[in-house]
Amino acid sequence: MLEIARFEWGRRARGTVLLSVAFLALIALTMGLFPSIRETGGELDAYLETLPPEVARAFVGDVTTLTTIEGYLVSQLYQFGWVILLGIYFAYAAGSTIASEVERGRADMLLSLPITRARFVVEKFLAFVPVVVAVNVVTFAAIYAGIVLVDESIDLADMAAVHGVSVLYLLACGGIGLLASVSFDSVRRAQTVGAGVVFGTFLLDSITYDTDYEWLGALSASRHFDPAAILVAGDLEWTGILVLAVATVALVAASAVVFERRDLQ
Amino acid sequence: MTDANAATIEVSGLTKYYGDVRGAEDVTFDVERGEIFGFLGPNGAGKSTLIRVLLGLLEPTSGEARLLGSDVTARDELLEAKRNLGYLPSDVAFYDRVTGREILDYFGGIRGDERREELLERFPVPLDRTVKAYSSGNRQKLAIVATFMHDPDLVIMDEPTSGLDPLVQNEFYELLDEQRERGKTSFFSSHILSEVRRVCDRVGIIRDGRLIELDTVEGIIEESGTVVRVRLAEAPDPEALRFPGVSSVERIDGGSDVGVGDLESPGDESRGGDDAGATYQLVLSREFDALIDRLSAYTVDDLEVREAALEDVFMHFYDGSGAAADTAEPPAAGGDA
Repeated sequence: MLEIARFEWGRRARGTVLLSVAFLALIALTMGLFPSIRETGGELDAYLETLPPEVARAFVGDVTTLTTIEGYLVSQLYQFGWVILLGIYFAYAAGSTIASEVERGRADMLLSLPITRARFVVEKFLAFVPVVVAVNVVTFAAIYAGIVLVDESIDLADMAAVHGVSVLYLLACGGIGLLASVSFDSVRRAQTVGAGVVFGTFLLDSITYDTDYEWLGALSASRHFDPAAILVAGDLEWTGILVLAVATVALVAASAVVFERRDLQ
Repeated sequence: MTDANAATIEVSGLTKYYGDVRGAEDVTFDVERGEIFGFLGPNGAGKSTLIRVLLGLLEPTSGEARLLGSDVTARDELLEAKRNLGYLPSDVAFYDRVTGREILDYFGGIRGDERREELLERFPVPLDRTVKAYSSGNRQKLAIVATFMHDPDLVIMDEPTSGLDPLVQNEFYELLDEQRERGKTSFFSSHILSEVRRVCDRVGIIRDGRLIELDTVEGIIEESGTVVRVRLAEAPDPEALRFPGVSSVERIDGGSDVGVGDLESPGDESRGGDDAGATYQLVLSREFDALIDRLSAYTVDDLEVREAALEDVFMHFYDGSGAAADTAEPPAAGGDA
């Protein structure tokens, strides 16, 4: 068992290192700026207040100040780096998983192995779990090191919760990409649709927040992962966690069913 | 698999449409255990459609296909059959950044690799280099090892020798011969006639999605008779040369271009329309007396009589596009009969 997942994980190891290095650089830059932000932060907070609430919520997160380490991390790292960047990245990466095998003609030979198509899809997805976890472990350690270096302290349990829920959130985004990947033969189309759906529903969530159409945003994965609530307010929303977990399983299962039933030309 | 006498591949009434486009229609044949079965046809005739149905990649529109006794449309049955199956595609695609050894480990980990070392000796590849650096021949050799190393009962191949140099090709044919001796079954599609003649026991010929011939290689050639090529000083109507036992008469000079595909073109400059004579090709059963009788009415400038080759048969089946001269072109015509 898990031969496919192990093989795929081996192919993803290099990408995982590159992704981690890129995020380490982002973290170093962000943490390095914090001491000066802390000094002059009052003006930034005033600027924050002038932003339209939808924009602020979308790109800064649900925070009112940047001068605390929690508010700063949420607005400058987690909201943009995790909710938007990594979310789109994993949807995009998962978009190529199955579609690339079909498009490049590798699927024929691989599926002549004694495996079901469902197993192929599920194990391809499972190969993302170590990637998501590894990126989060590395960044968690780096962010914590940064916090210590700038003479701040943070509730480690809350921070661990942010990364923990982000694992589920990113896997759900990957699930969206996976479903796109089994639905299209073209890698580019699958990746565009996967990433587009994640970003589109993210915008929908931001725009409809606090309106009569707020329920629409519940379709978005980002609605169920709110770093500000966890880190600033210390609220861990268990329903959101459950929704993300169930959605991930449902997306992977749906992908397996779609792929089982398709003609592979 | 459970029944040792069951045919390895059973296809009956198999039809596959892609929307309105016909991929295969009402195809029926069996491949017996220990047989090398060649599946012949030009590109687009439906060979790949059939192979993809057999591999469970396409759902047949109607009809049935069984591999090693398992229904290919039943998920669990197909899974069982695939343990004893190898599939070798024509243009193998692997992951670029992975080494040959990793590919073999991957395939071997899923379905076994007891013949790996032996096959690698016969089809050596640079195992520790990434596949990206492989030549197409090396990629194909790696695929051969991956396909045969778990010692499957049945191997399905889609134009497997493309990209192989002649020496490796020969080694590969020998491997197929050995497989037959060991009671293993090989099914492969090809459009290379010499290859089919070299290795196959039986041949199915497919055209426009339909199986139009199914016989042993010898049977097909025997049935197709003798090819006579004659140049006359006169230019009678081709029908004047017809007599009982002649299955086709064609005038093969007269401006139409000659030479098709991978068949050798003889480049016979001696014929041509610059004089009053004409060259004809007849296909007949062995009615030589009648032939001599008929030709005695003319002046024979040149005469060649030979067994039909598989090429003639093949071209005969693909005749009908108006390129009659092409279909009748013999592969190795000598001007001096």
